Amino acid sequence: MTAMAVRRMTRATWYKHRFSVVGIPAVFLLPALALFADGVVQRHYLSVHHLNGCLVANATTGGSSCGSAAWVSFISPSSTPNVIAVAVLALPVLVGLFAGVPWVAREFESGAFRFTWTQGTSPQRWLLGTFGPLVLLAAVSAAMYGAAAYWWYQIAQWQTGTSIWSWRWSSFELTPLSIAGWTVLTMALALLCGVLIRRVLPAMIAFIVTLGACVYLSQTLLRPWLFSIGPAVKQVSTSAGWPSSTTTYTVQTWLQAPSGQRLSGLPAVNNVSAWLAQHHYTYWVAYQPHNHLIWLELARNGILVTVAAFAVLASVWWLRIRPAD
Amino acid sequence: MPSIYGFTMVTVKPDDNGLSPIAFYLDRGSGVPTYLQFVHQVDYALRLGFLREGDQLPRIKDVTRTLAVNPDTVMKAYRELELRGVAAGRPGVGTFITQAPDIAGLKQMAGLQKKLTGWLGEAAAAGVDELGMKALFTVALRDFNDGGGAARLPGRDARGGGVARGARRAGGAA
Amino acid sequence: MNAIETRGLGKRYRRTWAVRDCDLTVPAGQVTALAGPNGAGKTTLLRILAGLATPTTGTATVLGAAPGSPQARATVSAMDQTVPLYRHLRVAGQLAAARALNDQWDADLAVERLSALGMATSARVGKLSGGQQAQLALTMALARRPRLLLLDEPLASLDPLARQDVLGWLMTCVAEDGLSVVFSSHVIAELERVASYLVVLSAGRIQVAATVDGLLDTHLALTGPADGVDDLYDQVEIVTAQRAGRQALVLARTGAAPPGWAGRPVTMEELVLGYLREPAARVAGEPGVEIVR
Repeated sequence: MTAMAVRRMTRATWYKHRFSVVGIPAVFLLPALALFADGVVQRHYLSVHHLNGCLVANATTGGSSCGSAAWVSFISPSSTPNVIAVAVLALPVLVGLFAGVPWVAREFESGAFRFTWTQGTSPQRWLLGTFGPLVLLAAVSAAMYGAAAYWWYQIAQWQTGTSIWSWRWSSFELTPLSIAGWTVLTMALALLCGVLIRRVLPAMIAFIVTLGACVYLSQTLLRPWLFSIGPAVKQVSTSAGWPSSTTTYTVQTWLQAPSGQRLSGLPAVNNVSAWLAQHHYTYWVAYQPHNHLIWLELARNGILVTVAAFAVLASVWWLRIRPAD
Repeated sequence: MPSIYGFTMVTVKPDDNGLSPIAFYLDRGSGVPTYLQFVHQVDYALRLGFLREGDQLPRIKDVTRTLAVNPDTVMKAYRELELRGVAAGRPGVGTFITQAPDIAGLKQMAGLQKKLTGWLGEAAAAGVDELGMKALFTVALRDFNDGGGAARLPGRDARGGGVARGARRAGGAA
Repeated sequence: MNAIETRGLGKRYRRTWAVRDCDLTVPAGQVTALAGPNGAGKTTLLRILAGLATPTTGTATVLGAAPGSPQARATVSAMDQTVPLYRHLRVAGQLAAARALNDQWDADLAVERLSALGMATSARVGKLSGGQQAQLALTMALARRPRLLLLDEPLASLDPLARQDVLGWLMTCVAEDGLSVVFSSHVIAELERVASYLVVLSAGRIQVAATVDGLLDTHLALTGPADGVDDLYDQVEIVTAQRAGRQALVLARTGAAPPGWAGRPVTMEELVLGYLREPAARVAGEPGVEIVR
């Protein structure tokens, strides 16, 4: 599309959907500010009480080995950070639900499509030209929001009462990449549901269902599968050499005989470690080191964006073969 | 301005800013084709002296705007007038009266009207109402046309014919 | 180039055919009246031509281009029966949105027309009356400077004065710009002065598709004795005959009244109603073609 056409489409979007154009950045940036503010408050507390040195995760326990009273009260467990983490991730869903789904569904439901699609722009071009910039806007706002969430979670993760682990779902998802990726996917799925179903409320329900399926699949299938790709392999002994439990992700551990054969389970003897040493079995660990994290994040979110792209293409295609009715 | 009689009355201020001395009107209930109504109105205007040689007839776009008729209808009327030798179109300017038809003088007209008034008085005295008078006249006129009097009527088109357009173009294609 | 060409056009919704076997050739520069009872398929036909519905069978072209294609979008304007607008915007915003969606847009025409109608640009579109909304939609359709205008019952919500005014405006556009117009209306008497081409749809099929002049020249309304109707069938082509006591009113396709019958020219309303009463009667193309029963 030419620059002139893009400008005109943007203007058309503004006139018809200015609420979304203003609302989406606002809806992302206001909570981002809140998270940022909380992060500032927490960091101030830490620096006032000289607790910054405590923010080092113990390799074995996962928590800090700091013992000062101020620190202990700081890290008293609370479920709030996890609740907030879930709420943070729920925001893109709401944006998709209330801004993405009605985009096309409302156009059909209100009959306005009979005006919009008898003007000088084809439905497909209108869709890409108006919805595209909106997704971009949402993605950029979501990235900033994700950055604020990430920054907040650096401190807040100490207050959940669980060990620090950079591969935990909350650490993985509360990043600019992940939140932007999910936002792009939710918008694309919202669009697809709106185009297929063409009535706002049923489309919203379909959206929730499909998005829920995507979230479930990502958690239970996609991430474990991704994490199992290209791990580093290391030999360890029973007590030493194990990769850090705070920064790495263990894919698999096994015992290997000198012949190379792997033990499927532990033998049923009284002193397992003595028996293993006697038979010269070695411990092995396949794990993802910390420097793989960024690549896996890119991969996972790249997959989300690819699925989103397919959803958008499917919407455009469906709109072309069935523009109305 | 529509009135309850189905006529479109001419407004006091001419819509075309006085380009033409006359303005057309429509008699919707008459059953006479629109273009013929316009032709007759021009004819009448010529006879009564409202239109003279060189006057411009209403522009097509003015007629379409005020009366909401298809421009083809107006064009058809003007073509008919051209065929009769009454008007001629000047491209880009308009349609103008070229010559007043060969009509009876005003004195003759006055005499004819007097005779007609006398007949009307007779009919009224015999108890005939307005509708009856119209019916009598219509029948007499039709019989006059059909009975070969057509050749004697001035200004009739060479193709002849009666009141019904269909009769004129029996079975022909449009 | 023809304004509209359809070949075997059909559209099915679930089980029923809204429009079927439509063969239409409407030349450019005509004002076409689309008449027919409710549910005859007028709206479906107009939507297909506007690119808002895809036909199940057959093809359609508007001004030589496929409906919905870029060429069609540039030259064809449509106004749907539902008067679609962005009801939450103000008039100024609606015009601006329309301008953004179109390559060619005559802003002066729109502004002039709306101020002549006395429509404030700050009014909210949803709060306008039905007639005002129709006027707004029509103004926008014409501001696109189309060569073909497809209007689905554009006069339905207008008062008589507004109807006259709108028709006058449309006819002036036809006179000045050579605009082709297709519009459906229930008020057939109004179409008479305005239409040069008539299409009658009945139960999804085309009954009549011919020029108005041709139709009016080749049809007569005959009045005569009711018991003479049966004989009349051998003498002329009858479209429909109505008996009322001792008198009969017959719509016939003939040039002259047969002996014993009085003939007068038909009005378009009588023509349309006559054909609608006889679903089997058809006039295809120009008169001069047989009435098919």
